[in-house]
Amino acid sequence: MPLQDNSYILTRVNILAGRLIPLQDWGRVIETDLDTLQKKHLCNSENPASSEIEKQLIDRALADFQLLFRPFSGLEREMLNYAIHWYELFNLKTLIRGKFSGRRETEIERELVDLGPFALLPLHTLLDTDDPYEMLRLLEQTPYSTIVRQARSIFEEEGQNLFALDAAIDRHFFSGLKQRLRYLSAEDQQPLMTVYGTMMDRLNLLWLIRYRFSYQLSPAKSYYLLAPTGKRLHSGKLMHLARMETLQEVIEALPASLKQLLSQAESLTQIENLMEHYTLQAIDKILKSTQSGITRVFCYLLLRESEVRLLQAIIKGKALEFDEALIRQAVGVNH
Amino acid sequence: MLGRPVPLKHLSLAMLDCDAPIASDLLASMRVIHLIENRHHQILGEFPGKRYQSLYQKLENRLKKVLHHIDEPITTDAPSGPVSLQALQQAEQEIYDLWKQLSAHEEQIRITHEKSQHHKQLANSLSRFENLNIDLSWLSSDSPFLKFFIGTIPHNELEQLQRALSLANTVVDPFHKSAAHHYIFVATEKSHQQDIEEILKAASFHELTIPDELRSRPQQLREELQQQLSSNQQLTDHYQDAIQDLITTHQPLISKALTLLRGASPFATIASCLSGRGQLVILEGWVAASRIEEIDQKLQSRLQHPYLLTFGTPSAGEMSTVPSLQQHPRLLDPFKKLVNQFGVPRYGEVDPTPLFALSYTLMFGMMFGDVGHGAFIILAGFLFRKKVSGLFTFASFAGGSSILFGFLYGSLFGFEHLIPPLWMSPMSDPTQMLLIALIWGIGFLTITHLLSIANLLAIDQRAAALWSGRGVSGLLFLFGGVFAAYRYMVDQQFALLELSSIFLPLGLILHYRWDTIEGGLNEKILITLIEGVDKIINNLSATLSFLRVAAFSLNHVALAAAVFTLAEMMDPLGHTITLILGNLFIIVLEGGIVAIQCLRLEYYEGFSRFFSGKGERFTPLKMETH
Repeated sequence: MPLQDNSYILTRVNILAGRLIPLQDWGRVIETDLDTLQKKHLCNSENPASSEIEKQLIDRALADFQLLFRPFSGLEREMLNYAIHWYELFNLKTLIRGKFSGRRETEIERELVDLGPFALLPLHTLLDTDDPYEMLRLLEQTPYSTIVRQARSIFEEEGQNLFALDAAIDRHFFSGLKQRLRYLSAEDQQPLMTVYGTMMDRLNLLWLIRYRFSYQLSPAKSYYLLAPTGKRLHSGKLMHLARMETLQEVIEALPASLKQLLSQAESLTQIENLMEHYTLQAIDKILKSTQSGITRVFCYLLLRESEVRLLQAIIKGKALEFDEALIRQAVGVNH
Repeated sequence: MLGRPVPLKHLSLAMLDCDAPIASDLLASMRVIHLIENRHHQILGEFPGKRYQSLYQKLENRLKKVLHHIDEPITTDAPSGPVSLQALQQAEQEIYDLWKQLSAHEEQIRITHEKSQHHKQLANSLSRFENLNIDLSWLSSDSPFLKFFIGTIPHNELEQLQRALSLANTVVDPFHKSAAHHYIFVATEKSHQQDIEEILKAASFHELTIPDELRSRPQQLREELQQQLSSNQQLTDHYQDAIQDLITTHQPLISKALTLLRGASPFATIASCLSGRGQLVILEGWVAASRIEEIDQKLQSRLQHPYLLTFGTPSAGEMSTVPSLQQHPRLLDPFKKLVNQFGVPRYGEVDPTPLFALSYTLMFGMMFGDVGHGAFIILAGFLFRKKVSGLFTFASFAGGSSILFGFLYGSLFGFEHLIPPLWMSPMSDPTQMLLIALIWGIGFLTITHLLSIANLLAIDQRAAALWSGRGVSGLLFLFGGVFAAYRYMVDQQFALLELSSIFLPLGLILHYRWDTIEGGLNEKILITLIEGVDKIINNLSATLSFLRVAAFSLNHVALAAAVFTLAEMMDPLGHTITLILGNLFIIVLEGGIVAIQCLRLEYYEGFSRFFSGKGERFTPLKMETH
């Protein structure tokens, strides 16, 4: 990328990142009343529990991403466009699950995210299908055909095995993302791989714990369902962790920094919150220090995705009049 | 000549629910109403047409899927009137049953296709298995301790699978690599069999069953696989035939459903705008003021129960939401399309289509004046009239203008001496041509300013109409600039009078802008300064932009001269060929450039000054054709 474009991107991301809610401020956001929150973060929405909230927050995020993606071209653009399809995987999972469990179209539609110009899935055509097999036949004509073939065999063989489907879809996505990172120039690749690895450490650890201790899967199957390309938790380490029989053993066997972070954690939710906070901090640090434009955009994309998710949870929680402590627990804010 | 969109009235029709389908059918056949969201939704709270609409959409969706299997167009009858909910329901169910049968066949075709792929894979890899250094009979034998698998997995799964299965003391040995797959041999303990099977499935493992005959009778096995493949093909053909049989048998049903769908379309469209309570429903929309009486009369003759029909004039607050109904002679249709490419005029705004048609045609002729080339454009438009709708009309206007200016310039296929010019050849006095283009530009910009003032007044923005750059001050600024330039060029005078003629109107524009800017003092100073400079540059460049009208007319002659010079260097045959090809080159390339340049002048120097293009097109309710 030409120097002037890189400088433009660095400045642009800085401006946008300056508008993100700092990690230490989430406690205050939870204390804010619903009206103020809505005025500050949403244009208008009469019913805050409706999918309109999600849509408005995502629409704004997508508009920012579109702005940031504009100066990129070629492989860089391709990588960013691919990364944004993380959102579309939610749609894919919702559609497959919804159709196989026989949910009504309107119910499924409510949970779908409109990706606007980034969308690859013909959502309405897929929603209009009359049975899951018709939908899978149509999905096979989309860029997600490889995932769909896997999804079909999982469903046919394992019935409503949702986590296996999620894992297959996620694994496919992350392996595609890593492949695209490898095509980038060395100066972009190095910081991007650090971000990617940090993100994967969090996801792999959570998935591993979930598979091993919540779903009671064997070490082999648990390991197979991971995407073992982390920064600290590389494949050898994950194979070792997969052999552990208890959660405490897993924590004990973690690298020092993660072990220290999770030493007091007793439940998966606690681990999830601590790891999310840890990952976001690391990504935020990279965003502020890197001189690679594309890395900064990628970091912003991840931070913004997390902000949208947390805001959605808080606003919905408040609209449903949940206890503040419960909301804190759900979004992992303990201060 | 400069019309505004047709005056509209707000229609509100309150009626009994049983009359709603009849009213929708009637209004659709008249194509008079642009539906709007009902303002009474909140108060009335019921949506009587929702079920009907949902059924309509389902039927439409399923019919689309069924029609996907049909190549030939299906003949349908004209709808005989409104369609009842029951009829729609029955058709929807019948089409659903048909689709289910078709879908089952489609799924079978897919499964058969997958089987074929598997058999092909097996056939291709037979030699690999023959060379495999194990006794294949082991694989199918029932061992008390070990379980073996042979099959394929996608390339990207191998590494992960090997590592994962090593955790279960399982061996994964890849023995062959094809373009898309790895052929693997897996050996595991019986106790891990279930776990391994699940992992293999998750890895898209495709098991290959190796028949015992592979070693003893490989040729026979190959033949059997070929038989399987041909039997798969037969099966696929069978299902495809079954699909066609179903379609043929159900053709009357499909045709009937299509007719029903067409008949149901008006009420299904209206349904989303229809709200009511109990038996009362209300429909709202915009209609042309001239058709009010006709609508009332027809409703009186068709509705079976009393109804309340009211009409209202659009209020000032509603103006931006009223749709725009443009009515022109059909001859102007291609120009209307080009105007709508830029945007639709807002209700109350001047519709620029007639002005556009006239100025575009004149500019094109001025820039591309040649009798022969004009005639050729008309001929090409005639020949390709079926490929692009409106092309012949557009080509007739543009070509006609070319012919007219061709006579004025005395130009025929680039020959400047065959016909005497009724006026003059552009090359005989280029300065005069440039001067005429400049005057044309000033005239054009004056008209756009006047239209802008009219449009601002139409939406009640009087201050902007008077003081803004798009208003009277803007027009005075243009005239002041022209006056100052004239004085300087002709009389070499540029004193207080000339300066005042530019800067007084500019001052008025900037003063008005200053008042409308929201922000701090510094921001106001910066924006006003930048916009002041921009205004001067913009007016100057816009006026000079029209010099291209003359430039292209000169260019046209110059290009023809170049062709003739080239032709003169050839022998008689080469001379003729060069002239033909040269003229074709001029028509295609220069003609295309001139067409685009004219459009650019219209859009950027014209429309952008007076026409927001943010209007909503009037879309009448009509019978949908499927």
